Amino acid sequence: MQTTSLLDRIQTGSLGLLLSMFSMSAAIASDASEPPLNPIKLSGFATLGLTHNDNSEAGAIFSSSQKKPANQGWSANLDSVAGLQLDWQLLPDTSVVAQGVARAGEDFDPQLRMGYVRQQFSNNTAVRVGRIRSPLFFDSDVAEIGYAYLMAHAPIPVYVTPNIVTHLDGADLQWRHVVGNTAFMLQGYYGNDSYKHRLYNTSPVEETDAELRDIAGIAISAATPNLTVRLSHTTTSAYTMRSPQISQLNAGLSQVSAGLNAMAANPYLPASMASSLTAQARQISGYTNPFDAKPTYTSLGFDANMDAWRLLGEWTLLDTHAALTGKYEGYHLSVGYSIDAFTPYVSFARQIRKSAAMDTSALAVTNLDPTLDPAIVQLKGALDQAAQFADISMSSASIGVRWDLRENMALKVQYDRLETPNSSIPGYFALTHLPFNNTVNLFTVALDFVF
Amino acid sequence: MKFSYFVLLGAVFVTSVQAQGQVVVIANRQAPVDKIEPDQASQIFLKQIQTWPNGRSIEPIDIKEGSPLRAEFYSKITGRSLGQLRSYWARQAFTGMGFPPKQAATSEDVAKLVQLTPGAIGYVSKQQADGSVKILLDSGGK
Repeated sequence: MQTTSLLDRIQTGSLGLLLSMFSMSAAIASDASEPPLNPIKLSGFATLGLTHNDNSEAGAIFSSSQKKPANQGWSANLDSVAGLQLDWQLLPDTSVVAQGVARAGEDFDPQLRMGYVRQQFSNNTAVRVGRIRSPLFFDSDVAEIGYAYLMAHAPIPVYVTPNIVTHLDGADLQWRHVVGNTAFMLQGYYGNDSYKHRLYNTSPVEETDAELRDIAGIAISAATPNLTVRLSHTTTSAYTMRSPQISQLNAGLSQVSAGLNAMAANPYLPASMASSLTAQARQISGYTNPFDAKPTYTSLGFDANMDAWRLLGEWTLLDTHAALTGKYEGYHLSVGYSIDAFTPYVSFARQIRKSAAMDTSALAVTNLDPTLDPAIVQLKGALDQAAQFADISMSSASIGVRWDLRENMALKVQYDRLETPNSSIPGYFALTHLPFNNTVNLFTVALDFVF
Repeated sequence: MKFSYFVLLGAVFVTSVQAQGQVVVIANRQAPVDKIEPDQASQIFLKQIQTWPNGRSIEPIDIKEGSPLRAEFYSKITGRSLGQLRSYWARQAFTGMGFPPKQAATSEDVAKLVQLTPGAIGYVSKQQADGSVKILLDSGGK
């Protein structure tokens, strides 16, 4: 009863309400030890991050659902975040976890990031049912928990994609097995996600309703004292994106397709031409809901500690199985070296499109119908623009330093140089137009803490 | 007077050095092993290894933040700084993957809890490890 009430409040209430609820439990919680000693425990994390963007045309984003990008000048929108977590050990093997998160880039609107019941079935097996953090890539569950992450932000070229999928509403199963000193964990997960995908090139910025259905995956990780390796593969049954503008586009495509079929039905038309028009109509009809896809996500990543050295790397493959959104290969490599409380680091990341741009050649004028042809030209323009804005290829080079200045507190200073392959490829920038000045320099100062 | 003051200071220094060199990993006497390697100790306190070879749960007992023994244990045995350790547990806790070990206020409390809890493992300074617990790893021998 109490659990349901808490989840409801996080989903619908304000952060203030959340805080007041948590303050009651804070009196019960005492320290950071595990639940059996503290049946109800409050904890939290926050990042106060300020980023300077030198580019007047390109906003920096954490994910494509971000309401307010970090535009030119100083902004807190890229990294600033606050999170509160309540852990409640109901029974020795049963616990309830709720985590609310508020991001500056989302006007600090509270969102439920985790809300699940965890049941431990044996020493090696546990199940979580409810809302869990996204397991798509190596660091996708930790990307917004600054203190737990080496850098000020996860590499933007690779991580904006998984950052869109902040959670799964479903369940996961975790099975652990130890061989020697290596701990293996097999995680199977299933769920759905929905979010607002923002099309920054429309004015006003269009909020589309995006939905990922039947997200199912498996991840296997192997952890030794100094190295963790994780391989994951995730499939989906459907990704859909809906908005009034997309409906308008669909209506236009449907009308043109119907017009071509009507022309093809003209008995005076040569058979070859009629057949060609029918094929064209079919192809144009296939452009309906062009953002819809069936993405798969694959990731192979590692995190290694060798004395003072820290090495993180990952290879990723995103295949949307859709002509517009395409297929991408990405990687990042980061190296840090700790000198007392300071860890300077460098990082390089890249994501590149591996499939051709969408072919819109079926939207060719017929020279048969003067009323239909202008509509075809207009639709081709709209689809070509969508295809151009869909290319998320980009790279980043970053240098920074992390200073663990106090217990539970770290200060990071980071410089990122982000760029796309050319000025007509938008990458993961919030843009209103193309071409644009495709190099963005970000300077970030971020204070992370946990409690 | 001055002489005895310096002797006292020297004694404190020597004790501190000795204590820092002699953290030992202890376990409840029922633990099914007599010795573990530093890597195993590291995996146990990071909760990557959660069961003894006989299948029984391992109950690691940590010392509260701020204890020099804690810093020494993690630096010597696991090779991690306390900052790295906190970062590791922040990741585990806020992604729903686990919690840090139970904590005791002092190393005396650790010894007591380990003695009383089947499956428990902890670390104390060597002087506090009496016959009521098993010594599984001696950092002095590392």
